[in-house]
Amino acid sequence: MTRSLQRPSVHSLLPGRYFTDPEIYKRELKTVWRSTWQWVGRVEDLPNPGDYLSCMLGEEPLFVIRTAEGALRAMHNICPHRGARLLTEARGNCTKLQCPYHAWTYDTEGRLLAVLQPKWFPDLDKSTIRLAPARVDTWGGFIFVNPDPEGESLIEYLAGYPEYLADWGHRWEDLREVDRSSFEEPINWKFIVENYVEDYHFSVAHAKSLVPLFDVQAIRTMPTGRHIPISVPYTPEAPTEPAMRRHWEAGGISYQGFLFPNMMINTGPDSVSVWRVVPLGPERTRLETVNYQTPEQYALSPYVRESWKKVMEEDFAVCRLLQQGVNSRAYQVGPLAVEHELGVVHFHKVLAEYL
Amino acid sequence: MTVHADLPRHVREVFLPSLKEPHRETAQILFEQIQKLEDLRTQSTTWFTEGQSAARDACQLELAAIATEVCEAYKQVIRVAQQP
Repeated sequence: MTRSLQRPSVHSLLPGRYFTDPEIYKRELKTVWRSTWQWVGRVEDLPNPGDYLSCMLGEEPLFVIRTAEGALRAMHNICPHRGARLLTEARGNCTKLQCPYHAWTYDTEGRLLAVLQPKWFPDLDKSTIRLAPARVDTWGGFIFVNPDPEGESLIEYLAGYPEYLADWGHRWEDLREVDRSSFEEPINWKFIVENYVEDYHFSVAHAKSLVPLFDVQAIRTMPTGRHIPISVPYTPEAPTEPAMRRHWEAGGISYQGFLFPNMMINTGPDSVSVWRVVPLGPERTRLETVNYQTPEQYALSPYVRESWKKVMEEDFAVCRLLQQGVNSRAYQVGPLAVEHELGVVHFHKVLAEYL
Repeated sequence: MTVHADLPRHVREVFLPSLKEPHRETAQILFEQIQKLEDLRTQSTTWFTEGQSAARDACQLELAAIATEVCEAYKQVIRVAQQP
């Protein structure tokens, strides 16, 4: 893992209109969201043949299904007959996929099995028609999908991120879901990412929530590939507040970080919180959070749902301020902090390559 | 409540039976109480009408606080049970 201590340059940042312009948003949908690996679920969500999950990556409807042979396949969720959406449920199980429009039927490998009224298609060669494939792969039990059928493998794309997470003392494959939440905000998705990948705001926005928990001075941002691992050590002394102490680990590190374009992983002393940033429009974003524990973690500390709404609101409040400021003719980004705002520059640099 | 079934199953079938008595039974009771409190909290969202969001949130917080306390007691029992 390489670590850059270069001085962040504001010259490489994207201009303000990139956070409001519908044209830029459309361009992102066609570049970023169509050709990157994105987390869509977990292996244990699809244990049986025929289990599937459907998802939207930008404007691309896709699904992942476990085939009769037990493999995972990702395909575009579009019937090649007339282009109708095939699977309409978020999750389910089916041995065959049937289009709700004209009942064309496919197997779990995407091969066309049957059409309604075959006599009406005298020249149809079923073997030439199949659902458009996407790529699917897994790391640590997380299922990733790339709508682009060609390009670098997931492991190449992850660019050393798994090695960073290997220092966490548990098997990622063993994680199981304990809780999930969702937040919708009038904020461009990139502001949510920017705010996540810098810790300069901690001592102001999170003075009472995260600062007693983490050694802010010792936070390290270590870009690798397109991604931004952030090592966040806990404070040397335990927080005085009992509720905070439960989230503190003596001498430990919270392995946090951002996987381009929209995944955030945060380890805690006895759980992991994984976030997904879902753009809904140029100025609207949903943040989905899913918490996981390994069976061993759950046995020692059964999950009790504690609300992180307060900390989330602290972040959303500052992101809303960014969104409110970005349309001003005086909008600008001044000098950025060495190390502690490095992630912002790295994110913009990576994004600029797609736009 | 969206806890994956593998987790409570592991606790009931593998972890708790591995503890020695009398801690096993105590931990078992506390674990089931945590489950009941979490179930109750899930159900409690239906006890309120749309205009009662403040009361609903207060109820959620109170039930979470009780579950957290029971969980702390559970963890202490586990620590004692795992002492050599």
